[in-house]
Amino acid sequence: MHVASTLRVSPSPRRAAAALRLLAVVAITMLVACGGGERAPRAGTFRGAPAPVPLPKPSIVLTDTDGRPYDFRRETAGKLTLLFFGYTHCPDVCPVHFANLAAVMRTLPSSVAERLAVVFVTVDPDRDTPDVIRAWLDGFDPRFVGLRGPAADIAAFESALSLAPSTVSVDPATGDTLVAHSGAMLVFPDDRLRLLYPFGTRQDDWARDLPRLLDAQWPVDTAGAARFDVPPVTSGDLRISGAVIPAPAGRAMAAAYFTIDNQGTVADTLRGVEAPTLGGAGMLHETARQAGGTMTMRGVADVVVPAGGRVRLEPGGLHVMLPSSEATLAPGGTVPLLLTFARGGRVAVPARVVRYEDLPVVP
Amino acid sequence: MQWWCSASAAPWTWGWQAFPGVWAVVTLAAWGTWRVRGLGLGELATPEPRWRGWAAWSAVLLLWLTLDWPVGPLGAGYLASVHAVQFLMLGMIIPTLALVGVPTGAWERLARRRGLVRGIGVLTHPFRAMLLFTAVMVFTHQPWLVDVLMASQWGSFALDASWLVSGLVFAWSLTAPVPARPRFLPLLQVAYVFAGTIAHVFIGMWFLVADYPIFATYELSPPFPGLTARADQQWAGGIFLLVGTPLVLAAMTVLFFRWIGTGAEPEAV
Repeated sequence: MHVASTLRVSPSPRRAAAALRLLAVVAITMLVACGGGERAPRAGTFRGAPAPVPLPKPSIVLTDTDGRPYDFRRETAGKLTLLFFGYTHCPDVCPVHFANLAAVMRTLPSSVAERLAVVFVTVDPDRDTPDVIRAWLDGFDPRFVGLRGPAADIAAFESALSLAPSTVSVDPATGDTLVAHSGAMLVFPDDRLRLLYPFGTRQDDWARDLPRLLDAQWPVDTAGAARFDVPPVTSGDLRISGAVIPAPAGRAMAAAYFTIDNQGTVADTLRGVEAPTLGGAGMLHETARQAGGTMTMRGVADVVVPAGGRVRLEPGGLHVMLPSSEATLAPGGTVPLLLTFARGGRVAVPARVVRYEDLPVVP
Repeated sequence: MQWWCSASAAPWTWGWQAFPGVWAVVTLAAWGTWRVRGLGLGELATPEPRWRGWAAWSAVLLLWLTLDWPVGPLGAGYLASVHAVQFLMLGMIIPTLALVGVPTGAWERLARRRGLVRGIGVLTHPFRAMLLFTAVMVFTHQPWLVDVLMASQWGSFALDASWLVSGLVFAWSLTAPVPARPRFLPLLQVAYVFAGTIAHVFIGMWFLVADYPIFATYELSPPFPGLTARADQQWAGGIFLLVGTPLVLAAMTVLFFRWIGTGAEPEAV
């Protein structure tokens, strides 16, 4: 079939040269593109976000899918632990997280994979029976551990990790069960929470980070204040130990933590704390979780130390707020604190300034 | 209600969804086909082969099936393999069918509009068309672009439109007699088809051998029962290679044997 037309298009050398340049760009793009879709982070960093506070692994006991008690801290000791709070009816976040993790674990050498512990804790124990959890996890990887327990225990577990409590409710309009839960995978390379991997973490993120998490040199912690060369202070029946101040790192206020043991037979009361070198008195505070899951801090007038008892001032609980100073609160330094007790009088306690990640594990 | 299919965070269900933008585009394509065929057929003194009509209306039907539910949303947000099918349809099959379905009389009417033909000639020059088609194919399979475009309706529309337009541009010089290209010999056409589509082989192999899912859109979408993200991507690679390559080979074979059958006379399909 011919169509009469006198119109023709004639190429020109200039157009040909421009076309060749475009072809070169396309070819280079193809070569670059076919190198893969990896997004390279800066050297030495992980794709997960650092935990605001490297909280210790809680010693919480739940029940695994075989009906056996499972002490989270003891069972995962020595392993790179990945912990997730979710539910099996989850349509997206939970299955995507576990599918991606399982896919990557299948590519890891067995010598690496066996050093991992992946723990799933259901926040919907009514629907997630042990059999349901096991079947769901087996769809990803039979090595994954599934835990369930009373709602109060789950809430305590989440609270110990400073997570907002999960909620399970029923939509009155549709009858659908609505579950709100943390969508992040909590990673414990050692005995502390170090990194959080949010939903959106991809397989190549895990592939890159998991082996490095196993090999990374995290601060090694030993028990108590001895690590920081700050010996405990004894005054009468009172023994104050483990006094540390995390370096404020630009924050306006710093916090001081320590442990008070009352070895006497009469209770005493901590009335105040001063930091003369920081130019002011400290304020006793307590962090608490409200009904809606938000964390609040309230002032505390004093702290009672019962006879024969112990009171810990620690992250997430009781603590002393102090005015901060970058110059005097550099890691490695020592800040003298003056504790005032109702019966024990004034006790001078040296507090070591440490990095947040070096906060000692509280046994 | 969405007007065009794009990535969604909602789990996939087989519940029907309306996409009015798709209906508008398909309606426009159907009207255009009816109008062109009506004008073209009115010009003719002799009957047109029936297969042209079948080709034209098949293009409209396939356009609707490719863009509308369920293929549209599946490809836009859940399955890379369906997305691969959409590319082959929008980029290769539908444009070819649409162009071969144009009646001879319509081409004759077009030929009388010299300014328009000149412009079409510039746009569809084989070298330029080949580069455009290749560039669109390569760029629209880059994860950094796909993940951004698929997240929005306009982006997804742009992606689909780029495939359709580049496919029309690419197929034009092979199937349309206007403008005439007497020096675009059949053997050159065979080389043109090969060079213009070879990128799909590399893309298919990339999908097939990649260790991990390439596109966040599909990797992070609510899982499709029974299919992992990587397996789905490998299916996409397989579709590129095992469906796309035969299509290309078939086109090259037709052109080659047409050249054999008609000698050296340049002739449009």
